[in-house]
Amino acid sequence: MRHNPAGLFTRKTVAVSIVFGAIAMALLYIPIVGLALLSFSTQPLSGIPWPLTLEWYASLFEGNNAKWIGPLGTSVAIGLIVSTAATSVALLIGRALPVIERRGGILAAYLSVLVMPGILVGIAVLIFYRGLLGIRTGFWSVVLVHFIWALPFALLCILLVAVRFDRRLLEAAKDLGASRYRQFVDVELPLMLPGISASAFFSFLLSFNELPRTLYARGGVTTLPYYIWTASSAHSSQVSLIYALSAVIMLASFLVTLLAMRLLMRAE
Amino acid sequence: MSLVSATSDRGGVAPPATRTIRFSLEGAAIRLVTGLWAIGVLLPILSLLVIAFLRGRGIGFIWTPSLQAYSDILVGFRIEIILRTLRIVALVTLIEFVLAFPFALWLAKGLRAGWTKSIILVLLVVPFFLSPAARTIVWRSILGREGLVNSVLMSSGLVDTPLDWLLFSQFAIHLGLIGPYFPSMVWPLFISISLIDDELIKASRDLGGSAWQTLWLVVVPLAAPGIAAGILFTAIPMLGDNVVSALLGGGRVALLAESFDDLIRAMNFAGAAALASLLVLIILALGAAVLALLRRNGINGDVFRGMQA
Repeated sequence: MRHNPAGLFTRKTVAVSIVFGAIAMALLYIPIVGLALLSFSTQPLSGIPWPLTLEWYASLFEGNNAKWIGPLGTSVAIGLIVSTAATSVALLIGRALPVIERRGGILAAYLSVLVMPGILVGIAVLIFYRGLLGIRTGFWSVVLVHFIWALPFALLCILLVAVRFDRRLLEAAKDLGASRYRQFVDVELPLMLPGISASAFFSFLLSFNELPRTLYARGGVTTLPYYIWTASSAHSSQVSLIYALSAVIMLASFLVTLLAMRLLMRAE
Repeated sequence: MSLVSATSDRGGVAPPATRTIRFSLEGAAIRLVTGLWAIGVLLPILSLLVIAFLRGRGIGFIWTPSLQAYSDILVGFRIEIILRTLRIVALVTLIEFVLAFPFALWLAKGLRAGWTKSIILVLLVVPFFLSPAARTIVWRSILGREGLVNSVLMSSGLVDTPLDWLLFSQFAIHLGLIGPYFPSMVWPLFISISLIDDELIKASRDLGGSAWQTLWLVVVPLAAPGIAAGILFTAIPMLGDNVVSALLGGGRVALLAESFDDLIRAMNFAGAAALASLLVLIILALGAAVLALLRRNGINGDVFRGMQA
């Protein structure tokens, strides 16, 4: 691919583009890098990562400070359920989508929730199920709103590999006597595996870090993001611990995202 | 890179013939799941438009048509909140576009594929998967009364008393919103600009068009679906943002999300449904306006085309 086609850019416009991008990227990453740095600061709220200490990390497991472990378990459980469900449904829909009729409408139906504000989805689930139908919200409704959030991303992951899948391979397998089950397991699944694993990782992360929808659909369930949210907006002395805890979660999420992206790219 | 080439390579594989799924276990499963999605997910959201006209009783509803919920919520201060939210979202979306368009253009047409490009694109994906609250809370340490900016300003003698308007203010909300919503604006722009054939740009230049004319008459019209998608993907989720407004508004700058919080806490589900229905209407109006604008400029098809894998 040719670049800077026919002088669309001058040195000056390139500089402007980079500066604008850099400003936005700084606003995006200052809080992320800042969180990591300040989690080692003796006074995280001062905004100065100095003097350094490991105090907050060490005290994460002491007595009352360790209350995040319960919510962590809840979030991991919900994340695993959502990841499995979203990836399975995405696989079912995504592998059929390139070859069925009315695919535009079906795709739009699944992707439309991608643009909805999270708060709207949370409130819709709360009002419809709790208010209108009278069903108590709780674990299941958190799973539901996380599923709604994760499915479009899962579907996009699967579609990335599904549109490149050559269905003639299935015909070939059939001619060689493979049953439909064997066609799927031996031919289709291995070729789509990068998309499937990326979908599983991304869905888990989306659920694990989800907050806006959970706030309304949670019933009495406390997920880890919700625990961190209440602790951090309560102006409490817990804030320093929250920095350390959030930094650990963020680093883990970062690494899993890189892993999933690598899987998807290798599929190319 | 990955996302883009997958999209553009689609033409390379012979498109499989469309077929109706015969009655099979798989076909039945697809119908079932899609049906459940429509009833269990899309219906609750759309039903808000109907629920808003019911009379509330506690957290339940009585099936008599009523405008009570609307008259309950559409009071002076809340109209002010709605207008304030719309103004902030419009301004931040504009800022995002101004920052993102040249950057996306450069990423797509000015930067050679390589490590730099890959790293930038990875950095634009990762934030989607990080906790929104954790990404916002640090602004408190930076903008607070005893925060970084104030201590630098104080110790350098530029100000005598800490600046109050840095945190828990409209300024903080604007600043806090720009970062998190930047990738939502860049991706649709980047994808749609990447799909523009370089030959078209070169032809425009060969025929004597200046760089600005080429940008305005060739690139912008061809990237219009991406521009539309970028605006929708940025502005609509921002309308309901509750993390930034709660952490950086600190209760002093109320946005739509706080109104929802108050109504739900007061168990006024009918009021919340009415407010949510307004949000749905704003979203539909915004979507329709963007589509109409695209149509008037002779661009048909859905705004998602640029996003479709």
